Amino acid sequence: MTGFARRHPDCAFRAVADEGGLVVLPGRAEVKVLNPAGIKIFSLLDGQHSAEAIARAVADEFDVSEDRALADVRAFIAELAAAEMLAEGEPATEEARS
Amino acid sequence: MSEAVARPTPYERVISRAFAEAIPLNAQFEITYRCNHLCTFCYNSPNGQRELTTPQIFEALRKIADFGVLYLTLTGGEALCHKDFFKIAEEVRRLGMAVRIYTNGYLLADRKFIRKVKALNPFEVEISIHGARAETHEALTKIKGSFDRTVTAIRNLVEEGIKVNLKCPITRLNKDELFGVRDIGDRFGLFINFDAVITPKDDGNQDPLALRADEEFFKDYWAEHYSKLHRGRLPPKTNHCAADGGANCGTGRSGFTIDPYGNILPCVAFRRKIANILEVNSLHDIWQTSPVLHEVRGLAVEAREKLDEHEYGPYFQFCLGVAETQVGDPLGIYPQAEINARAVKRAYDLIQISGAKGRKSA
Repeated sequence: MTGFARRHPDCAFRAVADEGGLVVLPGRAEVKVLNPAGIKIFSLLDGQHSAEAIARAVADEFDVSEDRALADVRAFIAELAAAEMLAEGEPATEEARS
Repeated sequence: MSEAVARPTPYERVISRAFAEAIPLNAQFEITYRCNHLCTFCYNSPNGQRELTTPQIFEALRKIADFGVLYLTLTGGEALCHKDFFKIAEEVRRLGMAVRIYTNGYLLADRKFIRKVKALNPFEVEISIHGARAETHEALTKIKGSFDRTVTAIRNLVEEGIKVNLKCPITRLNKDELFGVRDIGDRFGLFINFDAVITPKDDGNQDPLALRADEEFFKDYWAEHYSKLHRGRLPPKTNHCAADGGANCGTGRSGFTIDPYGNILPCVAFRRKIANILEVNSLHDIWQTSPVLHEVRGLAVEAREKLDEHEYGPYFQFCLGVAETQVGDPLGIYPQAEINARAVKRAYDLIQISGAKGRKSA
């Protein structure tokens, strides 16, 4: 356990080409559609990557600065938490962990 | 008059892209042919081979998950009759796939099973119901008490908050009580999909077709009853598994099926062996290179082109697998498809006529 944000263990997900991807929430019988950056971030929310590390990966792959990517990653993680798509009780960033 | 074309939703765009690029999101795994029902129209054709062991099923699941499948459907036979059903379903979840369960519901009348299903957090459970009365349902399942147990299972699942899909294959035995079946769905707030096609057995045996309802019934069904039974929906013009574009259906494209012996098939209906999952290192190795898949995908495109030239072309729901088992040619127009297409066309013609009358009187 590293303390980084982790997607909810009940979620199943798949990226589809460069179209984005699908996240299935079995307990609610819902399917969410994420854009390409969203599915990239979601795939890295494995408890092993900090928000900062995810932002670097996003900045590498998409045309966005690391600062902007970090702000977007944090906002997205907050959205996922509000939507109950993250495992509970874990800080999302290196800052929160320190 | 120009028609407004609705822009595809983000979900539709993702599904269309997966379909166009043959990225399989679904797999059906028939984990056993064993069953606690004796349905006279069942399409399964066990051939006496040894079924996969549980460790072999686990190995297959790992390969399916590594391939990126999103939805894994456990089916049979009756999937819940497999002695290790819950271990297998837990493994599906552990591997990160959403689990669907196809069942006759018989065992889910037991609360002990329901609690275990609930713990799996399945995406959905699909149950077939064969009539509005026990006599009808059990005339098809051949198991006394199966109707009450199926209805109890539906209630149990709904009470636990598990998503349930109900399906009712239309036969000559239940065709006069479809509204009663719909009422059962309504009682639990569930939508029922009525299935107008009875298929031959997988080995080509045509006996199940004797249960088909007659053409007169289907004229009324598509023109009048369908919309009432399906909460105002119009009859479908294409296969449920066709996203859009050139192919008739998603066989060998949007998903695949594994039979109880480990054979990989293009879909549940079109049962041409691609390979055995135990004999391939990775599904990636065969998905783009298999000559069987290449041919099947080509046939699905050819079928759509052939249907487009047919008098009832835009109204066909056509299954290559049924065509192959029924008339020996995956592109052959089988009677039931033509009967349904003719009746669906008539239904749309009637809608246009009544729409025109409506506009005149307005």
